[in-house]
Amino acid sequence: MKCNILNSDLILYAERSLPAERRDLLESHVSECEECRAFLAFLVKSMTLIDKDKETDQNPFLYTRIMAKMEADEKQTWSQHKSFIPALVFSAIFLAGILGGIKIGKLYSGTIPGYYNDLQEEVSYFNDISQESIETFFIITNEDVNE
Amino acid sequence: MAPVNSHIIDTELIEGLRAGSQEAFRSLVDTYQQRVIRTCKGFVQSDDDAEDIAQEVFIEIWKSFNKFRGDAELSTWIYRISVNKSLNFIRSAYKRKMLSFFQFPDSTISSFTDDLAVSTDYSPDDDLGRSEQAEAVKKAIDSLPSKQRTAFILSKYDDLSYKEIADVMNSTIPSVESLIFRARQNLQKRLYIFYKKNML
Repeated sequence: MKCNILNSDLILYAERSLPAERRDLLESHVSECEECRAFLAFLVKSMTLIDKDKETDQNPFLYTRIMAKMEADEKQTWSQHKSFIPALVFSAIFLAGILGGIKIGKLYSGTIPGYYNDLQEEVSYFNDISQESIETFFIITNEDVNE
Repeated sequence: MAPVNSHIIDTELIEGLRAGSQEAFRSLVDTYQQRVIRTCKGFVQSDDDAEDIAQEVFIEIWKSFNKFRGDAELSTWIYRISVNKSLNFIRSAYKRKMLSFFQFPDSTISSFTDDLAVSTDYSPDDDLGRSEQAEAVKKAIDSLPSKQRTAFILSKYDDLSYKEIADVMNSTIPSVESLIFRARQNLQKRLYIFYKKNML
């Protein structure tokens, strides 16, 4: 029996989960094949190392550590929130400044006597196209020629 | 199937936790801590990390117990949280490793085969040889695809049945059988690489 055919059965055998009908075949091969025998021994040891690794002792202090960690996490969350307060205060002052400025600006619009009306008159001189129609604009008079 | 006694204990724990009882929580920690730590040990390299993750698991249970609907066993729910926290820990560790790679260009992220120490003095019978082999086994498990690794750990470390593993992974029994079969095959291949480097 070739090694590569039985190869995938080696780890199942090492884990003691190989079906009985294949077990006899593997054992028979391994008894004759040194290479497979050596690798099988390696796999058995590897599985034993996993069994050793998974051993755990009961820790009587775990509950205390968990409660301490929860307390520490709560304190950290509160101190993280506290660090936002100066930024919030600054933003509030900045916003108040902008709104205050807009309010003050509105208060002063049109309060200087005649300022707004005079400005309108000046603007109208610069916008004299509204004073005459487009047809009269293009009519050339004698006065225009003599100039 | 969980024994009747453990089912009764779970029912009492659930009632206590729903009521916010710290005594019930302490009892839960005492009852389940070994199972949780064992699960976490399968995913991480060190016992300290496994205990850190276990603490996170129990904190998560305490904070989000209102999300436990009771349609699965309490143990199934706890195993799910343990697996998720362990996988999150591994992802965070991987991100930290990637960041350090970009910060220190001379460092390299080693693959499974590069990372194995090829020791000319390797002897499987002495302590050093056993610890190198133990490390190789751990690395081989770590290098498995995520679902295969989870199924293998729940089977090998927690001795869960295929049905229990299927419940934890929200999967079916045939899928779990297939995952564990492939996990074992891949594990054997990876261990053979170490074996060839050190024994032959």
